Amino acid sequence: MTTLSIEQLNIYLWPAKLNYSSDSSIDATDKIVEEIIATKFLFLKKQIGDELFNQLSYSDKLFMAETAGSIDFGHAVDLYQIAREIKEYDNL
Amino acid sequence: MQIKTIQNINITVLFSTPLNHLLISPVGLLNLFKTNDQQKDQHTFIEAPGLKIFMLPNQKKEIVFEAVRMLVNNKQETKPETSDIIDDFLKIMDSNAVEKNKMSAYGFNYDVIVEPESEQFKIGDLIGAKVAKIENIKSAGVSVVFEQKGIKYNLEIKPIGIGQQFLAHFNAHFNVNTLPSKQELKDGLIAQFDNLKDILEKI
Repeated sequence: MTTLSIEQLNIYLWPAKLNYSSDSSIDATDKIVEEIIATKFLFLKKQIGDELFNQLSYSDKLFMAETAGSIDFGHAVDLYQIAREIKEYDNL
Repeated sequence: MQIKTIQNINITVLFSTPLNHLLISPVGLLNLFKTNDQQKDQHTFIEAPGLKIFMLPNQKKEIVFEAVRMLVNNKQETKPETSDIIDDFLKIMDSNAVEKNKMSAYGFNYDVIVEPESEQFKIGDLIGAKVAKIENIKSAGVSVVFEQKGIKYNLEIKPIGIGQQFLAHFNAHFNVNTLPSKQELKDGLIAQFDNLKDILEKI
């Protein structure tokens, strides 16, 4: 499987047809949605680092970009506290 | 098939360089379309990155500015012969909102509701024989891209879920970087509509 760089992704995500077609059934809203996805990918790349990002398939990236930050526990979660508890549990 | 109603007539123009969105303002556009009838002049302006939309809901007109395209929509349900879309289109092209000399192509678009002329119409008349063999087809449509005399066409016919009615979308694309005269544009708009009618009548 070929992994695309974010620059390549931006090109692939761009609906090129929009730039040469006079067809009114293709409109800029699609392009805006795709720009939003490209921005989310950039954010994801920053969060997980280049190495891991480049190993992900397009659909994995899309899934992570769409779901990141969307798990709601109903209250604030202290990740350090959870890590400490896991560590203590392992030491038992 | 025959045309029942015209939903939208559109002219879309493409530019070789991105539009300068700073030159596109609701005040400037309203000045072009002002009728001095308060009701008719009610308007809405929507902005998003790389997108500006100017709508005159009571005149059933809409102008969309994208990065490299401008779309002029007329939803008055009038035939091309009586539509003022060419006048509206030229008003903007001749204004300072866009750079007319940077156009790279233009096209006419028609969205029409169509229905079969005869009750004997079968879905097999619209789609290929092999596809028509799929059992229990509830609805189906077609998408055809073709070229005639240097004009690129896109025709899509899709069911709208109301009886035997379909939405037909037709785009005629002209790859030219100069705008024809007003009369040629008006004649072209009518000619392509007639072309669409001819195609539909054969289905």
